[in-house]
Amino acid sequence: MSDSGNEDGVYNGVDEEYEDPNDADISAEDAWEVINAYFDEHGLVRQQLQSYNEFVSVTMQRLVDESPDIVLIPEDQYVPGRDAPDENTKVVIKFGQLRVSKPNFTENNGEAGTLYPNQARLRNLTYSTPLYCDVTKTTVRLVDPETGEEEATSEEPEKVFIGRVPVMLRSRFCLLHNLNEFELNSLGECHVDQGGYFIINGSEKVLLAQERMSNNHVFVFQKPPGNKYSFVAEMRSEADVGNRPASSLAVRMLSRSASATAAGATGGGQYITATLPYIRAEIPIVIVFRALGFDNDQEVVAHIVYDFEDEQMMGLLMPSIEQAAVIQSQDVALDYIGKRGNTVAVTRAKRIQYAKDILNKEFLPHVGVGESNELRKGFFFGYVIHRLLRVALGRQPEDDRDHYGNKRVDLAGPLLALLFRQCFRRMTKEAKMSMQRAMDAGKEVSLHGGHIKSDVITKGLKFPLATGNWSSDRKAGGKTGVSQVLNRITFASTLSHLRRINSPIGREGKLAKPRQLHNTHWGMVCPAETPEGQACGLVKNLALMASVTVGSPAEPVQEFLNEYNVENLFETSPINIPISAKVFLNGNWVGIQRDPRGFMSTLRGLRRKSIIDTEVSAVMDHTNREIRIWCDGGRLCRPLFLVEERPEGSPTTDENGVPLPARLMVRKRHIALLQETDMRRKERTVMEAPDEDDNFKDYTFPEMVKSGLIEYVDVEEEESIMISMRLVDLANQSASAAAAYTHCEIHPAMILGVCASIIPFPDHNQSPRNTYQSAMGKQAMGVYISSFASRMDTMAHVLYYPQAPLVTTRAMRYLKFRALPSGINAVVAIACYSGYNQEDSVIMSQSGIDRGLFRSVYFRSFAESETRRLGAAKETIERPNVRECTAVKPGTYDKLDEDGLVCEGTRISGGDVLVGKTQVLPPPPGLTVPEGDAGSGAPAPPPAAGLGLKTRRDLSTSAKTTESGVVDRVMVAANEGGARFVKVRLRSVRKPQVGDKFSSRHGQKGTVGMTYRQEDMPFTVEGIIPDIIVNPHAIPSRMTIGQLIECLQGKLASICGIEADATPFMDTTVADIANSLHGTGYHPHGWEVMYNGHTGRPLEAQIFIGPTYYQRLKHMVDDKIHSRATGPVTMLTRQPLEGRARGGGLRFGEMERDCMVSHGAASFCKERLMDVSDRHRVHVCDVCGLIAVADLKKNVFSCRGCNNKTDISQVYMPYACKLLFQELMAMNIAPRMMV
Amino acid sequence: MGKRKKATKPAPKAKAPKLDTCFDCILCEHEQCVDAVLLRSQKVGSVECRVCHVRHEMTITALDEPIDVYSNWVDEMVKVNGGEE
Repeated sequence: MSDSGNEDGVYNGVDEEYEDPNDADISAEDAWEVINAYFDEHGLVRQQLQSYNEFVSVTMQRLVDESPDIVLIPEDQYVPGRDAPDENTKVVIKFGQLRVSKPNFTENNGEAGTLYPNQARLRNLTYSTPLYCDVTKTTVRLVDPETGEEEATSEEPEKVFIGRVPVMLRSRFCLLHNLNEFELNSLGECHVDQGGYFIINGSEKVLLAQERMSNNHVFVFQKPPGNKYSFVAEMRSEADVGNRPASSLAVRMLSRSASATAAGATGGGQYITATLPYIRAEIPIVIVFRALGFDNDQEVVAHIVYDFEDEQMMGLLMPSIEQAAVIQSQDVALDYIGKRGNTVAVTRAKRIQYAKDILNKEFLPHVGVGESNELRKGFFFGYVIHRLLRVALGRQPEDDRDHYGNKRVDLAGPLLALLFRQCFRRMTKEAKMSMQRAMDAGKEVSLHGGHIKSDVITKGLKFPLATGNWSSDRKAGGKTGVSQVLNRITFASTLSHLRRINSPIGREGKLAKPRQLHNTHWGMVCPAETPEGQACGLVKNLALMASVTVGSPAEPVQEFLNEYNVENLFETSPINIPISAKVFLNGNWVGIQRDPRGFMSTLRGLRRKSIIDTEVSAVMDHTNREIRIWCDGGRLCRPLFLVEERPEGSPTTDENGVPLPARLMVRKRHIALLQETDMRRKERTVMEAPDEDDNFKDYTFPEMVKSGLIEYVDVEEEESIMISMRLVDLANQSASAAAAYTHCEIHPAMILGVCASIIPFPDHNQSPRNTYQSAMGKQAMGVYISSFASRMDTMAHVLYYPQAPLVTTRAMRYLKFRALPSGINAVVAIACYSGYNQEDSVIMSQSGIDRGLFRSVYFRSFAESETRRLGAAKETIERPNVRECTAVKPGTYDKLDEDGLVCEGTRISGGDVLVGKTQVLPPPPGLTVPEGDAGSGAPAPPPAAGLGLKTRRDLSTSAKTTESGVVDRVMVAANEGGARFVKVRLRSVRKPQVGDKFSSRHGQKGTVGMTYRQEDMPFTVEGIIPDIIVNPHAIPSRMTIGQLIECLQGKLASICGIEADATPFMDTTVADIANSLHGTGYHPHGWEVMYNGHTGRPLEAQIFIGPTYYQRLKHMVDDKIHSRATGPVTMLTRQPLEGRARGGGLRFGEMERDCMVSHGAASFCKERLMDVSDRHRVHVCDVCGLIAVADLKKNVFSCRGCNNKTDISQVYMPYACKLLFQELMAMNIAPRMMV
Repeated sequence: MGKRKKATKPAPKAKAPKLDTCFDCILCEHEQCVDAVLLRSQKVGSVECRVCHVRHEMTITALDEPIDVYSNWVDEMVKVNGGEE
C-alpha cells in the first residue's frame, strides 16, 4: 500500500529534538528500500551469471595453467638411410594466456559476423564464442650432457584457435551485456528477461544447480546395531590446487562382535581402523600413525586424545594401541601398508616407497601433497579419530547429512569446468600424439598444422549442454538431466527454472529424510516450492535473497591467520590444544588460537570492511572449541542486517533497568542515499545522459555490504549468530547478554522462492496449498516474454488481456510480474448456483468471455530444413507433385505456394501440409536410365518419369490432425550447414469453454463446468455479476484463508482505486481490511445480497463476492478431447494404437474388465476385448487342432500334416491369440484347438 | 503401474578389491599357484607353490595376513639372490 503514514519513528518520534534525523533507526518500510537496492543490483539470476563469469575469466585459465606442457622428444624410426634424430633436442609446447572473442558465426560461404542471441534462436545456431590460446613453442637443446645445461629458444607465442565456448546470455561475455532497454528491444530481445541460460542449436538451455555433499568436511555417523562397525568417520579430501579428484578417507570403529574376531584381538574393547586410498585392506589407525613417523604410543595418544586426563577416551583408544604393538617402526608400518596396496611381489624398498607415495599424494591431499606434511597429516588424522571417539562417547551427536551447511551447490561454472578439464586434457593428448607423429616423420612441428583440434572442446562443451548428459565423452555415463530446455510457459516459470537446485539422489529412494524441509533451509531454499511426487523435496528452489558463493582464494585469509598469532601445528604441542580453539581453513586444520573471541571479532571486522572477501564465512563453534573458516565455492548464503556491537562493558539497561534497544548499523541516512541513487538513475534513463553535478556517487547494495551495514552469512555461520526476526524485536530485546542479537532479518518474506512469492497472504494458507500453487503458477498463461512476436517457440500461449493483480506482494516487483503478468482480476463469487460448479468446477460468465475474458492465443512452430542425412539423397523444399511421390501425407497440399511453403494468413485445418519437401528415390532395380538429349541441352527426365512409377519420396511437414489455426509467420533462413531452413508458426485463438482449466493463486484449481450469459448470472444490487462462481465446498477442507483475504482486500482495493499489499509476515489484519471496507459502505466481510438471474428473486444466503486474481492454465479441452470409432492399429498385434496424437483407441483396461466380470456381463467383455479390437478368423484342422492353410479365393482349405482337406473349422479369436499360438509353434510347442 | 525399464542399466559399482590369498610363484613363474596357510594358534604361516612345491615358513603375529607371509618369502628370495638392484 502507500508508504506515507508508515514513516513514523522519525517525525513522530518522542526524542526528536535530541536525535539527528539522519542517524535515526530505519523503519520497516525502509527495509524495503534496501531490498529494492539488492534486486536492482543483483536481479534474480545473479548466481548463474556470476558462476559463468568466474568460469570464463578465471577457472578456464587456471585449468590451462595447471595442465602439463607437451614435451616432444624425437624417436629413432630406424628407417634405412635416415640418420637417427638428435635425441638431445626436444620441443616443448606451452599453453598460455586464453582469450575469448565476441560471440560470432561463420556462414557456409565463409562470411563471418557477430551472432546475436535471437539470430541463434531463430536459425537453430549455437550462441558461442571462439576461444584462442597463446601457444609457445620452445626448442630445448641439451648443450652439455654432463652438467645437464640446456639451451632453450622460444618462438613468439602464437594465437591458436582451440574451440568454441557456449556463452551464457547476459554474462560479461554476451553481446547483450549492459545494453539498455531500447537496444535490447531492437535486437529482438526482451528487456525484462535476465539471461542466465545458453542457446544450443537454437534451444535455450539451463544448467540446473547440482547439490552435493561438501568436500573436506569430516562426518561421523553411528551405524545401526548388527553392523560390522559401530561408528564411522568419513571425509572426501580435495586439494584446492592440482586439479585432481577428491580422495576419500574412512575411519571406522568396529562393533564389539566384529572386534572379537578381528586380527590381533586381545579381548575386550573395540578396534579402530582406517581405509586409505588404493589400499585394499583396512589399516589399524596406530599403524598409519607409525607410517607417518609417530614412533611412540604417547605421541600417538597426544594427537588423538589431546588431554591425558581424559580416561574415558583413553580407554576407548587403548585396544587399538595394543593391537599395533607388533609394529613399532616407521619402515615396518610403511611396509605393512605397502603390502596391502597394488604392489605384489616386489621388493621391500619398493613397497615402502609405494606406501610413502600414497601417504604423501593420496592420503588427505587437502592438507598437502608434497613431502614434509607428515606432522600435519598426523594432526588431522588424529582429529578425525578424536571426532569419532567423541561421538562414540556420546559427547557429541552424530553429524546430520541433511544439514545444508554440509552441502555445496555446483552451478554452471563448476559444471562447465568439469567438462573443460576433460576436453582440454583430451585435446592436448591428441595434439601430442599428432605432433609426435609429425616429428617422427621428419616434419617440422607447427602449431597451425591441424595438430590442435578445436573440435574436441567445441563438441565436448556443446554435446552435454544439448543433451544434459554431463560428460564430454559421448558414450561414458555421467549425470543426466543437468541441462534442460528453459521453461517458457510463463515468465515466473522461467525465473524459477533458472533458480532450481537438483539433488542427484535416486528418485525411487524411499528414504524420507533427504526430502524433508530442514531447519537450515530457512532463507536459502523456498519452503513451499517443490514438485509433488517422485522428485518431492529433491528438487529445490533458491529463496529470493539467497546466493551461491563462487569461491575466493584462501591466501588472504591464510595471511591473516599468520599475522594474527594462529599457532602453526609445526610450532605447537598437542598439550596446548585443549586450552585453545582449533582453526580450520577450508576444512584443513591450520593451527590453534588461544584467544578465539578476539580472533573472531578481528576476522569479522576485516570481512565487514571487505579487506577479506565478504563471501568468506567464519564460524565459531563454542561447544567443540573450533573456528571454521570457509572460502570455497558453492555455499548458499544470504544478506542480513548487522546489529551495532556494544562496546565491551557498556550498560545493557538504562538507569531504570529497562533494556536499552539494540540498533542496526543501517541508519536513515543510508536509506536516503539509496533513494537518491534510485531517483537519479531513473532521471538518467529518461534523459539518456549522465547528470552534471557530480560529487554524488551512486550508493548501491554492494556499497552497504562493503561498509559493514549488511553481511552475507552462509548456512554454517547462521547457526553461530543471533538473528532477530523483525526490526521491532531489536527494540524489545531482553537485557540478558545471551539473548543479544547480532543480526536482523532484512524481511522474513524473503525466505520464499520465485513461485511462492506470487501468492498473496501465503502465511494464511495451509502449507501444501502454497506448494500446489507454486506448481500451478508455472502453467499459468500470460505474456511469457515481451519479445514473443519475434520468437518461434515450438509451443507458446499468450493471454490476450493480462492484468497486473489488484492484490500484490512486494516481491512481485522483482519478478517483473506487473510487466509480464499471468492472470486476470476476475470478479469471483463463492456460491452454489445451478449446481454446475460441483467437484472443483466453476461457472464462468459467457458474456465476459465474449468480451475477451481469459482469451488467449496459442502459437505453434514447425521447423524444416533441406539437411541431407549421410548417404541419403538431397532433400528439396518445393511443392511436391503428389502423383510422382510415395508416402504422401493425408492432408491437402493445395495451401502450399510455389516455393513449397504456406503463405502467411492461410487458414490451416487439421493435417494440412505446411512445408512441402521431397527427396529423389533411387530408381527401382533393373530400370535403365534414359540418356538425356545431349544435343538440345535439356535436362534428363527423372529416371522413372513417364512410366507411372514414383520418383520421389514425400517428406513434407503437416499440421497435427487435431490442431488448426492460421499461418502467423513463415521464416526462411540458412542453418549451421548452410542448408535452406524454414520455420512456420501457426496461431490459433482460444476462447475459454467448458472443460478449460483455471486456478486462483491458492492451489484452488477447477475446470469450467458451465458458462452463463450475464442475464442468467446472479447479480448484486449494483448490478455486478461475477465472472467466476466457485463452489463454497472448495474452501473449508483446504483451508486457503489467503484466498478469502485476497478477495476481501481486492474488493477494497478496487473500490479505493489502489493496489493492495498482501506480502506475508506484515502487519495487515483482516479486521483492518474489514473496517476499511465497511467505511466505504460495503459489508465488512464482503458479503452481498444477490439475486437469481433466472427468477430475479434474492438468493437465500448472502454471497461472498469480490475480485480475485485468476490464472488460466495451459490445459484446455480442445487439446485433450478425443474419441474414435475404427482407426489405425499396431502392426504386430492388430490392436488399436494408443494415444490421441495417433488417433488411438480408449483402453479397456484391467480395472474396467474387473468391473464387467463382477457385473456378469460376459458378452460385453468379449465384445470390448475381441470383437471391437483385434478379432481374427483362423482355420483349424479338426484332426490335429493346428492352424490349417486357407485359400479364401479358391475356397480351398487344407492341413498338410494330416492330409486333411475336409474337416476344417473356422474359429474366431483375437489376433494376439493367434500370434501367441504361432510363437509357441515356433518354439516347438503345439497349441491344439480341438473344436 | 509397472514402470518401463531403462534400456541401459547403470554399470554395477566396482566392489572394493580384497587382499589376495593366492599368489604367483616367483620361482616357477606359474600364476596363482602359491597358497598361503596361516596357523594362528601356532603362530606359523607358510606359503607353498602347488606346481614346484617350494615352501616357505615364518612366525606370524596377530596382524599378519597371507600377503605378509608371501612378501616375506619374496624378501627372503631377494636376499638369497644377493639382493636385486
